[in-house]
Amino acid sequence: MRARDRSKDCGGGVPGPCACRTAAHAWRTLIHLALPGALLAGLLLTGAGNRTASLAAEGGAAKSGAAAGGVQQAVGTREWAFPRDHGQHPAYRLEWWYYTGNLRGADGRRFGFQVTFFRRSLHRGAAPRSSAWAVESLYLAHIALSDIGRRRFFHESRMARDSLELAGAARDAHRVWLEPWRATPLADDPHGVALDVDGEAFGLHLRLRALRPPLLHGQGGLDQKGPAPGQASWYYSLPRLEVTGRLSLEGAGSAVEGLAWMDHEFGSGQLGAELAGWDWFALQLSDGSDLMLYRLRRRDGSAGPFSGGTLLAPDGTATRFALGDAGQSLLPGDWWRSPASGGRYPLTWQIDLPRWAIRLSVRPAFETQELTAGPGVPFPYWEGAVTVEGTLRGAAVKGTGYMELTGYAGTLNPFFE
Amino acid sequence: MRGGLAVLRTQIRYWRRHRLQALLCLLGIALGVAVYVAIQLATEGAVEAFAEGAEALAGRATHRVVDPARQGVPETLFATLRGLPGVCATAPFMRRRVRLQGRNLTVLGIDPFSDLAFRDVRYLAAQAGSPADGTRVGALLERFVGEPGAVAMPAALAAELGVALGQSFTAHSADGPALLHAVAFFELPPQRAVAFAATLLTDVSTFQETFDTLGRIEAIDLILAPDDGAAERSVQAVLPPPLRLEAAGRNTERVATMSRAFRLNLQALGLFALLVAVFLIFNAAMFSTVQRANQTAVLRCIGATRGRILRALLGEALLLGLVGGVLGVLLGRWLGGMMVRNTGATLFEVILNTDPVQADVALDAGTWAAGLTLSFGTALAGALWPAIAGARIPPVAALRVAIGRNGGARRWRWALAAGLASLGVALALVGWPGDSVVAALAGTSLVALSGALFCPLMLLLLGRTMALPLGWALGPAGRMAARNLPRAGMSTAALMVALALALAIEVTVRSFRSTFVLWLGQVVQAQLYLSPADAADDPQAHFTPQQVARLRALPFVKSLAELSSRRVLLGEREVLVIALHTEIFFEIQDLPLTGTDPAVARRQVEAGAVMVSEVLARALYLRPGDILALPTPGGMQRMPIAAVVRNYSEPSGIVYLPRERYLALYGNDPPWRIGLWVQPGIDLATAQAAIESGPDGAAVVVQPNALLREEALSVFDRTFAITDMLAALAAAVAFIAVVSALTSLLEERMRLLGYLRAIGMSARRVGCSMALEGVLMAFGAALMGWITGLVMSALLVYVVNPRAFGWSLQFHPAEGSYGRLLLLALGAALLGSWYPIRRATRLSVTATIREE
Repeated sequence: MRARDRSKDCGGGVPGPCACRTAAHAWRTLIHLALPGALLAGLLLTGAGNRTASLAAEGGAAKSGAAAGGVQQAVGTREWAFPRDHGQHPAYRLEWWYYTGNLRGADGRRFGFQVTFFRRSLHRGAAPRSSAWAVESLYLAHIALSDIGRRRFFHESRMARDSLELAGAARDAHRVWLEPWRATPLADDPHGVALDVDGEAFGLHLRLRALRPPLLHGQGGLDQKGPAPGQASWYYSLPRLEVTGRLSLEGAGSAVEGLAWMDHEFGSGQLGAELAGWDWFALQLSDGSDLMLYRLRRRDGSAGPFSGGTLLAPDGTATRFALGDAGQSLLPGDWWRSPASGGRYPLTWQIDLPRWAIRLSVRPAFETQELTAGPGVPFPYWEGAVTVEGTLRGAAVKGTGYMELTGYAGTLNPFFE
Repeated sequence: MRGGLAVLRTQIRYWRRHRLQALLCLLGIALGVAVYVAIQLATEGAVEAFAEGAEALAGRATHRVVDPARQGVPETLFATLRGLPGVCATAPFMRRRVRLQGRNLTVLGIDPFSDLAFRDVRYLAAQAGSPADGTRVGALLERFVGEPGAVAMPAALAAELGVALGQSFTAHSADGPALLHAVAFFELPPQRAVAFAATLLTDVSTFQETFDTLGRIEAIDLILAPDDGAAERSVQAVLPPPLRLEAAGRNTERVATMSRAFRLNLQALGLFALLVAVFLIFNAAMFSTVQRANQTAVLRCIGATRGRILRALLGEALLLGLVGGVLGVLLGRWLGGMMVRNTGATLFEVILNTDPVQADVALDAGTWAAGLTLSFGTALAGALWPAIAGARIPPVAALRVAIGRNGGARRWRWALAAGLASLGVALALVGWPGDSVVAALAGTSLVALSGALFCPLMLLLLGRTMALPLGWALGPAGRMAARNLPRAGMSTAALMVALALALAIEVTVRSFRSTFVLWLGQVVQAQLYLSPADAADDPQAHFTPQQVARLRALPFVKSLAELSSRRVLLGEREVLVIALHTEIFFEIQDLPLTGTDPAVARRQVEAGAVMVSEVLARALYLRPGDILALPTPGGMQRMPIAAVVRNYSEPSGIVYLPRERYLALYGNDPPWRIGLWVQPGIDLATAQAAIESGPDGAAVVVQPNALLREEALSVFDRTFAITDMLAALAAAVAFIAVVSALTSLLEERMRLLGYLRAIGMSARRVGCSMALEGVLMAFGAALMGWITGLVMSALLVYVVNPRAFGWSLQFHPAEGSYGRLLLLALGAALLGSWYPIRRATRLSVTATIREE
């Protein structure tokens, strides 16, 4: 009889075909698409998945910089120190490291890449936990590759807890990892980083060297996203990173080089309910200027207040500007409907910054650079390589960069409404 | 067109005048279809729900890392495995059984992030984001992984237990009380609901803290790339001993094999039931054809073609099939629900080890289609020959014949030939080389058919034999009854098949049960059986060496046997290797060996041979004397097989190793059960009480051997409760068969009876003659049913069961059932003849004679 008991063990295994299999499959497909989103929406929408927009104060109640229940708010001023500040800031609820760039292979093929790590602190009270699985932060990573010449887009994601060294980030160095995907500091460059990510379809092994020092956005790195104190994040970029390394795609490897942009942002706020999404740009221009700008988009499609950006001139002067002020504008042009998600994205843009006599048009390297929903990608968003053309103080400029468009496919946040 | 209308009108008029007959036909079809549908639904509902449940729990894992020593897997291995090439996904797996408000629940410890690739636990969010309370998914996820004691549970379970969100409750496990609280409720579609209905989900961290398993996890599920074993090798390379990589699915495979066999047998029973219905319909259709011979002749005379008559008669059958099919499917749904509550509950308790869940018994298009197809098929099969016969009636001849003719009585030669042919095919099917269960079952059903086809001859002989004594005893009434007997051929066949079926099942189950009881008696020999308190909940529960030492040291213990075992992969099969106390097995237990001299076997075992269970021997074609290559941690061990042991508990097979050999090869696996013998003069109850109040009392469950046997038998009986239903079906069919046969005979002989009454036979005599016919018919059917049933049961016991389950059973003739079946047939005959007799005795003599 004991042997019978043994058989109660529920091992894996696929029973024979049955009528309900189809229904189960349909359900599985549905849940596969929708529910990981729900599970991760909290992780992504309250921070990860966007780089600028979501830091409206949580519950509208910004605390003065000091910790609220162990959580710190982004207020006041900050003594920046690198490479320490490239590491994680566990006192803040949300943090992310975004690496995007345009690459050219030895054979002339062009690629775009994205490597993103998101961290979300749990800060669950002070109950001491004895299990090694106890979580301090959850990590999520998205990686994507755009094969521009062949107009193909690949993306993958991973997630893990920071227990058992499964994922984590150093507190004093430019080091972040999520299982095999990792960013590690370069020995000879305090800002530089090596990215090593191997996905199923592609792999990147890149060395990123900072050509320029960190660029602090907003007021001394405090980027205000809303009217209340704490509706902000600490935000800096490494706007011009020289990339060398290797790229493997479908088994074939090639040497690549190019330009990348790194964003690092941390804070403790959440997405304001009045916002439908955001449009973000990081552009590197041929005259040596770097431009970051974003538009927090309201539900009626207009740019919300606190939309703006930073222009870094070739001489290193950084100027913060707000959209709407003095005719600065960022306007969508042609729209494209994603066959995968059904979302309509504005893929061409016109940037007007009269203060510097800048007039630029932004075009996507190709259309289908959309991260479709799946495990780890709760809602579809468009993030891809772009080219830029226009004039700057009367002279023609060109450039490349990255663009992120969210909130166009479905509801950004169906589970929160 | 007009001809068609005329045919239709006569048909309607005929059936309106023969409502009872129509009703009986319908009932016959409906019952047959109902049994089939019920079995189909019950097996789908229970077996599939069970399989889905097992799959849902196990998820899509291809492999699992386990610790055969049951100490758990070190948690650091989890991260190591995740980085290996070819490892697509890994997830920790932890499980504990707890009791909460009297219910057995499973607590699963999961890592919601890595688990996404395996199990559909993503529903965590399904209700987590419940808009009503505005709770945010992110926050809930945080609480689930972040709060000590946090669980997510099915909403239905929460409602049943009265657990509210955030409310703390204490569940009891073998490790003591666990303080938990619900942070999320979830709901699932039915397939998953079955698997998770009695499940609490916790984060790995909570699980480890609650059940004090810090640093270890029960198992690691893996999805490995299909790369010719490269991934398997890379995983195996990093596994510290004694950890083991197992291909997933071995466990459910065992169960699946078992339930497939069970299901196939049940479905065959359902088809037997339909066979009964075919005879009923044939009887009714043939009779109505004969009875309407004059009408048909008239219709032919006024221009109806043969084709039209044939179509009309077949159309009738199809209509019967439709109505009977619909009734049958609906009835089957109801019966299926009852069966799931019996059979399904057993499956859940025995195999999934959870409280039974009401599996969904829902009618879908497939069931309707199957039910109606069977019902049309049955109706057509029964009505085709009568319809052809009806269409062939030559108009003039039929008009001339005043009294209807009976095909059944005259065609006994044809029936005999067909019966012999069918028997030949049956024997060929059963004897066909190979182990096909389907062929054996088909052969068994053909035996039933042959028996049915022999019925006319048997009735003819019975009638002739009985005519003289009955005529002598009862005069013309007795002679008439005996002579009329052959006319009831088809009804008797239906009754006979029903009785044979009931007998065959009875004999098979009794054989199974008596073999099982015998085996239990042989195997369960110790006076007291001890198992760890959480054994019922945790399949990995075992005794510690300290516990064993303490128990052994008890003053009243005479001797103690430790039962250790582990699962070993033998080729594609995961078998149980059991450490055998040789002296107990051969001296105290009563040697359930198949065909080997125990003394010889013992000498060989002591010289290093092993024994294998019958199931394994049959599956791997092993015989005593063969060499078995057994994988051990130290490499393959080649050992001769001394004997084959009967065993009815382990569907995937057992290898018995002498205990010393086992310990040498596999190490000291802790025992999961202990058998105790007490000193002479010590009362078992006293001993039990002493252990229960001792230091290990809380951790040990003590069962006297009688109780253990009783439990095993009660599980067995519940599993086979379905056979009661089939016995009830046989009774119902018997009743219908008798009513329909006697009514037919009555209708056929209406005029004859009128003459008899007119020349002075009393109504009483007529009634007596008819009752006698019923009794003779029942007796004939029972006689033939016994023979056919015995042949069928012999096939089921000796051929079908060994092929399906790998078990050989000792034939148990079920002696009590013959008389019971005869009584059942006679009772049904008397009850069934009541109405026809009433009609016959109230006939208006003049009206009957004048009618034509």
